[in-house]
Amino acid sequence: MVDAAKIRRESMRWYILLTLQNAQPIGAFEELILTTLQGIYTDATQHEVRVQLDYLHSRDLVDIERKPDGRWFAKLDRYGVDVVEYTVDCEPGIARPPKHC
Amino acid sequence: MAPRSKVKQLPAAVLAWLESALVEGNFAGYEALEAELKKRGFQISRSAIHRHGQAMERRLAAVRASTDAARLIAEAAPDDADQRSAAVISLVQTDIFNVLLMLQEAETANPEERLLLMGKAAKGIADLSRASLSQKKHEQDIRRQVAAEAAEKVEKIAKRGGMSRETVEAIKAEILGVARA
Repeated sequence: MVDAAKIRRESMRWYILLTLQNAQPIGAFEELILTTLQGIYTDATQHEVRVQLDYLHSRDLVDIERKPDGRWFAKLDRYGVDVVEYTVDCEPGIARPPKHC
Repeated sequence: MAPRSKVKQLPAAVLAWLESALVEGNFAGYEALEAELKKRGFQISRSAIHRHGQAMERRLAAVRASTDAARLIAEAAPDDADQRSAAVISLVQTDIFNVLLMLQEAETANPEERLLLMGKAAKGIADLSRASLSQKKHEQDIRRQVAAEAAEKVEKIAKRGGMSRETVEAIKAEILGVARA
């Protein structure tokens, strides 16, 4: 049985990391992340992005800056870069594809 | 409008399976995916699956390109502190990203929509050039300079994004035209 919700949230986490990798060294506003995710998940919401960013932050992969206007601004931190670059192992919870050499 | 994606019309569970397969396979092996979908009773062509996987890749390319462009524009038009604040750079990055997405959509839209999207995109670029330079004393001169810079950057970015020569030229002409207005 396919657990669609699990696939969705874990894939989203990976796509967020990829988006932020492409936004290095600046980082990105949440709406840019959301629009990027909507390339795959057309119905993705700002709330979903925040939930997943918060999770990635709690795993110490992403820095989040809550701007005075209420928008979130995210940037990969050192461990986030390591996970995206396959330098370190990735614990469960993020749908990182196997590395293609 | 471009035709509605067949892939997105799949039942949620099948779509979830396909998406995980795309992630696992890193957007490769479309033939195998097509065969697997057929077994499950869905007629989805290889190219439709490819387009679906590509949507994400194209957006990621736009993120990268807009990030590079924001930095280049900041370097081309240094402020008194000799480097625009990170806040301005990230705003410019978001604006350019939105413009690039419009351009990507324009590639697949019908001619009328395409013109409309390209006009909007050009205006977006001109607006962000103006906004990021409003603090300058010699705004007119610099606006032209930045529009030229922007046009040059957009040309590079658009080429990298695989747009046709004709589209790139039209965008450039639009940006420079708006800047002169």
